[in-house]
Amino acid sequence: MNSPASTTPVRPWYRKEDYIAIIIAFGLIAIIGFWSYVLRPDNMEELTANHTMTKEQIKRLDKSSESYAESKEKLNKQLTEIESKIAVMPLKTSLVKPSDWDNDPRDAFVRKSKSKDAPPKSSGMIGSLIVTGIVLLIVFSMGVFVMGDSTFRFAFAFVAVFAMALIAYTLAGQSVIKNYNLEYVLWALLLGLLISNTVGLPKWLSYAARTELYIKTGLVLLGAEVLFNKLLALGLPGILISWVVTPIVLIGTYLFGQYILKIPSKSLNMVISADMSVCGVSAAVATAAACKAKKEELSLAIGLSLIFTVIMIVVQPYIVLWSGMGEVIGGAWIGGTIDSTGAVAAAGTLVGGTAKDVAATVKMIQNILIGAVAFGVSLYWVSFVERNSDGERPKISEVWTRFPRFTLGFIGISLLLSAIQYQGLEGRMFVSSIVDGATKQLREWMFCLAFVSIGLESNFREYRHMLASGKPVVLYVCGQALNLTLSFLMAWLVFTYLFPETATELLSK
Amino acid sequence: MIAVVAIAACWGFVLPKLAQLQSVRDRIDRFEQAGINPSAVFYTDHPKMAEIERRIDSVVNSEQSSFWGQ
Repeated sequence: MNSPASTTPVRPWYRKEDYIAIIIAFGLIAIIGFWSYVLRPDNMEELTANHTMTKEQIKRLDKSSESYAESKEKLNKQLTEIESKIAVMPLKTSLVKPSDWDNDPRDAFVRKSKSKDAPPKSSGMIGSLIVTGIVLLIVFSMGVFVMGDSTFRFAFAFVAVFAMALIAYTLAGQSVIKNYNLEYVLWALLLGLLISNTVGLPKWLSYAARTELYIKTGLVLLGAEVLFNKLLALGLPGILISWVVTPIVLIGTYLFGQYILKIPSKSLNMVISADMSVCGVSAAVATAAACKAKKEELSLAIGLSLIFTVIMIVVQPYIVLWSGMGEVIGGAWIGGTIDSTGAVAAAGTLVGGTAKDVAATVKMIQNILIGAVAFGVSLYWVSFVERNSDGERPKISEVWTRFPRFTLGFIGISLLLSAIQYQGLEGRMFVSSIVDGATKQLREWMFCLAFVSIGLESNFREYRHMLASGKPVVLYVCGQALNLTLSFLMAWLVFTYLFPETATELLSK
Repeated sequence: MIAVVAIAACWGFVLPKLAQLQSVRDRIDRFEQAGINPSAVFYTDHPKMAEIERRIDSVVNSEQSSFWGQ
C-alpha cells in the first residue's frame, strides 16, 4: 500500500518491507515449528494408534442405536484429548489478547477459564500481554534495524501503538460490540483517526506507525492458515458454491465499478469488490496490499463491510426462516454472502445447528480463496493496470520486478504448510501447533497494529472525498445484491438438483 | 477530551446496560452456548471450527459418493 516510506528513493532489496515481512514470518514459523517438534510427546506412536482406533470406533457405531449420539460425542471428546496431547503449543498461554467482558472493562485483563464453573484467573494475564508485546517489539525492532531506521525511536513509539491496539481489543471485547461483529480493526482504526485528526500525529509516535511492515508480515503469516486441503471439506457442493460463485461476483462487481459506475480509483474498486465477495476484512487487507491501494481505501472498504455485516447478520437468518428454504440451502447462502466468519457462524446459529455448520464450512472454503485472489490481483495489477511512464504496458521482466514479493511469501507458506498438513495426523497436529499455538495470535496483533497505524496516518477529509459521490456504497450494495442472488441460485441448484442426497445427509447427521 | 469522556461513558455505562437487556442477553447467551465468536475475522479465529470441520468431515466421508457425484 502507498505510504510515505514507499516514496523514498531506491532501497536495497533487503531493506524493503516485502522481504523483511517474508523473513520475519518464515523465521517465526521455523522457530515455533522447531520448538513444537522438540517438545513433541515421547509416546507419539501410541497416541497416533489410539487416535486411529478411536476413529475406527466412531465409524463402527450403530447409527440406529439410541445411544449413537452420546457414544459419538464421547469418542469425539477422546479424539480431541489425544490431538491436544500431540499438538504441543509452548507459547499458547503466553501470546494472548484481552478477554471478552460484559460490565467491567477490567475483566478484559482476567484470563477466562475453559470450564464455565471454574472461576476466572487474574494471575498471569497481564504478564502474558507483556510477553506478547515484547515478542512483537523484538520481531519488528529487528525489521526496523535491517531497514536502517532508529530502533530506539521505534521501540519507544511502539509501546504507545501497542497500548492503542490493546485499548482497541478491549473496546471490541465488550459483549454487545462483539455480538454484532464490530471487529477490533474498526476500533483500532478509529482510535488512530481520533489522535491524528484532533491533536495530530506527534513526530515521536510516527516512528512506530508502520502500516506496510505490520500488514505484510501479518499477511505472510496468514498464509499458514490458508490450507488448501480445506477446499475439499464439503465435497463438490462446497467448491461450486465457494469457488465458482465468488470469482464471478468479484470480477462482475469490479467490472460494474469500472464501466458502469466509473469509479475513479481502480484500487478502491478492487478492494471493495474483494472485501464484499470473498471474506471481508482479511480479503480486503490481502487485496489492498496486492493492488497497492491507499490506506484510506482499505479502511473505507472495511468500514462498508462491517456496517453491512451488522445489517445482514440480523436480517438474513429471518429471511431464511421466513422463506422456508431450509437449513442446508440457507446455511450455504449465509456462508457464501456474509463477509466474516464469525458473523456467518452467528447468523447460521440463529437458523439452526446444521445451518451453522454448513455456513461456517462454506465460509472456510471461501477463506482459502484469499491466496488465489491475492496472487491473481497482484499479477493483474502489475501486468495490466500499472503502466510505464510512456503509457505502455510493462514487459514480462518488468512485471516480475514490480510483482509484490510478499504475495510469494504468503503463497509459499500456504503451500508448505498445506503439504505438511497433508502428511496424516502428525502433519496436521504439527501445523496446528504452529498456527493455533502462536502465529494466529501474532497475525491478529499485527493486523490490529496495522489499523492503528492506518488511523494515525489518515485524514477524515480523504474519506469525505471518497464518499462524496456515494459510488463506493452503490458498488457495495449492487455487488452484494449480485452475490446474494448468485449464491442463493447456486446453493438451490446444488442441494436441490445436482447433489440432493447431500442435503439429506447433512440434515440427518 | 470530549471523545475520551464519550468512550468512557459508552463502554463504561451504556453498553453494559445494553448487555443486561433481556433480548440482547438472550442473543449473547445463545451464541456463547453454541461456542460462537461472532467477531471472528478468519475461520481459524472461530473457536468451534475444528468441531464443525469434524462433524462435516464425518458426513462427507461416510457418503463420499453423494458429495463427489460418483
